[in-house]
Amino acid sequence: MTGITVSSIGWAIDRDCILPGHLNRSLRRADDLTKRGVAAADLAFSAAQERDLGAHETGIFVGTAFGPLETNFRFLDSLFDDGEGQASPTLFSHSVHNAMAGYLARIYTVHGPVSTQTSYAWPFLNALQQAWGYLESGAIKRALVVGAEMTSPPLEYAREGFLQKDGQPLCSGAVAWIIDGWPTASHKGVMLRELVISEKTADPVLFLTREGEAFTGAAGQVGKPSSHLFDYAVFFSTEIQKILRGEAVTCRVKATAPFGTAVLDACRR
Amino acid sequence: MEKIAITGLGCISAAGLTVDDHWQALEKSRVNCGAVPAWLFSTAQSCPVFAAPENILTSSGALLLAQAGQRRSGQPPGDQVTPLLSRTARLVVSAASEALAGARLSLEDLAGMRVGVALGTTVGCTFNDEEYYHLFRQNGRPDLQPVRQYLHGNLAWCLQAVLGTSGPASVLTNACASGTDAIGLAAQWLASGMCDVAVAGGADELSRIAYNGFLSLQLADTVPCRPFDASRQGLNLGEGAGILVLEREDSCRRRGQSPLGRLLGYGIFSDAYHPTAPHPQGRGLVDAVRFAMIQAGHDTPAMVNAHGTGTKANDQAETQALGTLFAGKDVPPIVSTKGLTGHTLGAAGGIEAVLTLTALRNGMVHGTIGCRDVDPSFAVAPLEHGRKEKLTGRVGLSQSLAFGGGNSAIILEAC
Repeated sequence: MTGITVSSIGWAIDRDCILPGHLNRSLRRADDLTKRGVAAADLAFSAAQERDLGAHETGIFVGTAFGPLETNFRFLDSLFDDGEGQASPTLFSHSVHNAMAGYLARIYTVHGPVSTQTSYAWPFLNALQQAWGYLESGAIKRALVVGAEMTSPPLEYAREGFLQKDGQPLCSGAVAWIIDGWPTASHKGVMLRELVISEKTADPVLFLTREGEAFTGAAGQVGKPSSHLFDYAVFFSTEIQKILRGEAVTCRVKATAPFGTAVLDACRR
Repeated sequence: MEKIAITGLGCISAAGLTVDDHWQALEKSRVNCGAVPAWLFSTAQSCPVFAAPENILTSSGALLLAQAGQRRSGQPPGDQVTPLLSRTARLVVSAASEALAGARLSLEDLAGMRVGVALGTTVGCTFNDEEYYHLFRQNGRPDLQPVRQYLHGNLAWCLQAVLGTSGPASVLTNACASGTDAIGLAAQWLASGMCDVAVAGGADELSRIAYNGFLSLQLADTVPCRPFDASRQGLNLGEGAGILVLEREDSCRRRGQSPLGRLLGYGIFSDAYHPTAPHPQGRGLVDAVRFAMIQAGHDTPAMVNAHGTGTKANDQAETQALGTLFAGKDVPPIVSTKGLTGHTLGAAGGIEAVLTLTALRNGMVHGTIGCRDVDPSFAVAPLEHGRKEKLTGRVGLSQSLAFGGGNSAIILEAC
């Protein structure tokens, strides 16, 4: 194995999210989180090189801080409004954190490992780390790695309360990376060289407010401050996509925060 | 896969506060299943649950918290941390304290090591404060303490904070396979050198949301569950935690610690079939078990701890898959321990790994509590309630199926 490679990136952020029409039927009961995850994945698959892989040779790895939290509140609505015994089974089944991963596996017929991780710091990077391990071991040859969050007014209320001011509203969004483990060095893409995630104890409120979080990218010391909890995934994806587009050759993307640091080192193949 | 040593086990559920409590409960077929206790939540529904005691912080768990507090502040132990711990986090602390004590790892020992924490959960990662949401939707301005507690509640972060350790930390939220997958992930970390020791397993508490959720899906039984029984009508929810301490063999040798067992193989595959129902032939489970067995270098386990929830679909699909796996071979004893603990969701994989290794170490497996009349349509016949079987080997299989189509299997060996 000569290194894992980001072959493509797909995005589905707020109003930029266009749901693929051919998936309308498959997504008819899906919640906002799942729709964005699938939209991002669809773009990523479309842009990636086609490979002749068995269904067991691809894995799906999802990272999300709050998952389908708003769907959980919608289920509570049905419990409060309709009473016990009448609550919505559809909402409940979609309120489990790995619902999106299940949709992705069904839509793209993935029989390999499918896993969802939850952390409040950088869950997309945790999922990337897990996918990296599977690719390096040779257990799979391709990984779809998705980071996603959905807006939730009760959580937004809490964030503003902790900040004691209006902040930039939380966005619904998803990013999806197609990562390939290639047996030779001849394939294009962005080779990932190292990912180090180091978390430390801090006031957990900071996971929501993201105060003190800042990013450094290919342009050097940028120190771009974070504005919401999904910002890191967007920033890391933006920097890697610069290499995919030929706008950069290498990058060392870094997120620093009171709750730790995360560094991704990559270069063009 | 490199063999990973298991040096500590911890378990808490409705069946008891320790691993030994669980084994004694199995010996006596002692079942603690009943109406939802009022101190847990109010409900007009009658499906029984397997509730752990109201105070689930064991003495060893409380001691661990006190020691952790002293190490952090050097002050006499206070109670600043405990109030912020969710019920699920307290279950983790209780089970982890037992496992670490069994592994003879103190907080001082851990301070000099890279410690991985991989925990599975479902309820434990959701926001369950109904009062907060009720006030919010009435345009009230609820106090933010429930959100603060929720943010404090990531289980891996919590346990790292209690132990004062650093290293990889993850919470797997793969529904009912979360605990098994957390153990598999921890083993991968150890094999790749990301940590020296890992605390892995699963935990979940009972919640009114999950309770009503399973009722809405018509998956809950109105009487104590009967896994694999012809008359089974569904599952009963439970709560608990099952935790393993995992190390590389060289780490064990350096510490002079004899392993209790080994993790030989791990498989995870997806059905890609349905949001909540398993594939009827259990194709993902067949893949997961085959992969794990190949990794382990074993053909047939001495026992199978099945997922065995008591639902029509799960038990049918699972026995179908086991029939495929053991076609033409001697079928090992197949049991479900959910008649003892209920379905503990994210904790199930952790608890069942503990109970599987305990059975292997004792050389004996107990029949499935609640299964008195095995469904004759099954491809294989699980072991019935009240029966015991001596095991002919020291290698066993523990498997989990999950919402979303996940299937996971681990192969364990008793030392």
